Amino acid sequence: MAENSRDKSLGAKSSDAEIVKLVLNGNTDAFERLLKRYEHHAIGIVKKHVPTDRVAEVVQDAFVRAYQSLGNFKEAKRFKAWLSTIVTRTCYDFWRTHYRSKEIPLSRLSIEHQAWLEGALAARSEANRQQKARQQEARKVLEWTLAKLSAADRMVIELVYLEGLSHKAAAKLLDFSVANVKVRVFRARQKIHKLLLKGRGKP
Amino acid sequence: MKTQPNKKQALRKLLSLTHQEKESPTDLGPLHQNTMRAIRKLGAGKRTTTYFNRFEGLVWRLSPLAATMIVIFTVWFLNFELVTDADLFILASLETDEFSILQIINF
Repeated sequence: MAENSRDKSLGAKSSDAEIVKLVLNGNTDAFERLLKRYEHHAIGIVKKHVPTDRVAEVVQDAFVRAYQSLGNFKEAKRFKAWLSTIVTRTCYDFWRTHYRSKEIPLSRLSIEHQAWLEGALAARSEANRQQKARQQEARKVLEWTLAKLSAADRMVIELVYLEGLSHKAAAKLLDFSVANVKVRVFRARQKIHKLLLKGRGKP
Repeated sequence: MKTQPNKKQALRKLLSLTHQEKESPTDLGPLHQNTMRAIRKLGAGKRTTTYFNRFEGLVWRLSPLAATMIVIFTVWFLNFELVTDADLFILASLETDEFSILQIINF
């Protein structure tokens, strides 16, 4: 009863730390406030890393993990940053599990996709490049390339090479060392260049 | 010579744009309800009552006491006159009376 009355007393602007305290004191329902507050943020991260049809499943998994780890949340830390780390690691775990049973991607790009890539790389203006990036072929080529990398390399290359995060930020999100991230980015980038520039789809 | 770096840059831009242009999921179903259902299944307050959490809190609270104890024991131990095996042998061969463990450690 006391918890419920306190839950009601928490306004819409109550801090994350206050809500976390309430949840840790046994009020599970208070977690819904955090879920509502950061749901879109979590979806924004997850949709970049996992296939669209698996986003809901991974977001749910990430929030369950966040709930289970609430005891480790320190008030000084920002909840959003803390949650981002959990969400990114959940995406990484998704690929680790997925890669164990993944289908082997085609050894080389189809002629149609190779031709598309030639045209896209030759695009002169930014607008033309953007238009090419929105095409269905772009997604296929990107998916094919990422499928050739390991789960860890895939996450690292998405964060650093594709999203432009610093090595340090990516290392923090994935709980890797900065040196590990640098090495992985270097190797994965070489592999991408080899696949798409030199070999034109050769493994 | 310049074409290769330019191509690499163009490739990075193209892949980055594709990555960012990824479509948002249109229907996530009852994400809210499913997540809260899964969380309620886990039960409340378990995280605060785990032995590890209690131990973690205790360790830091008791650390000043532990440090003081270490200093006291170190000083006490340094003032301690240790008896070597050779001394013990001499003591045992000269002393025909029985002696206790307390005598051995010079207490």
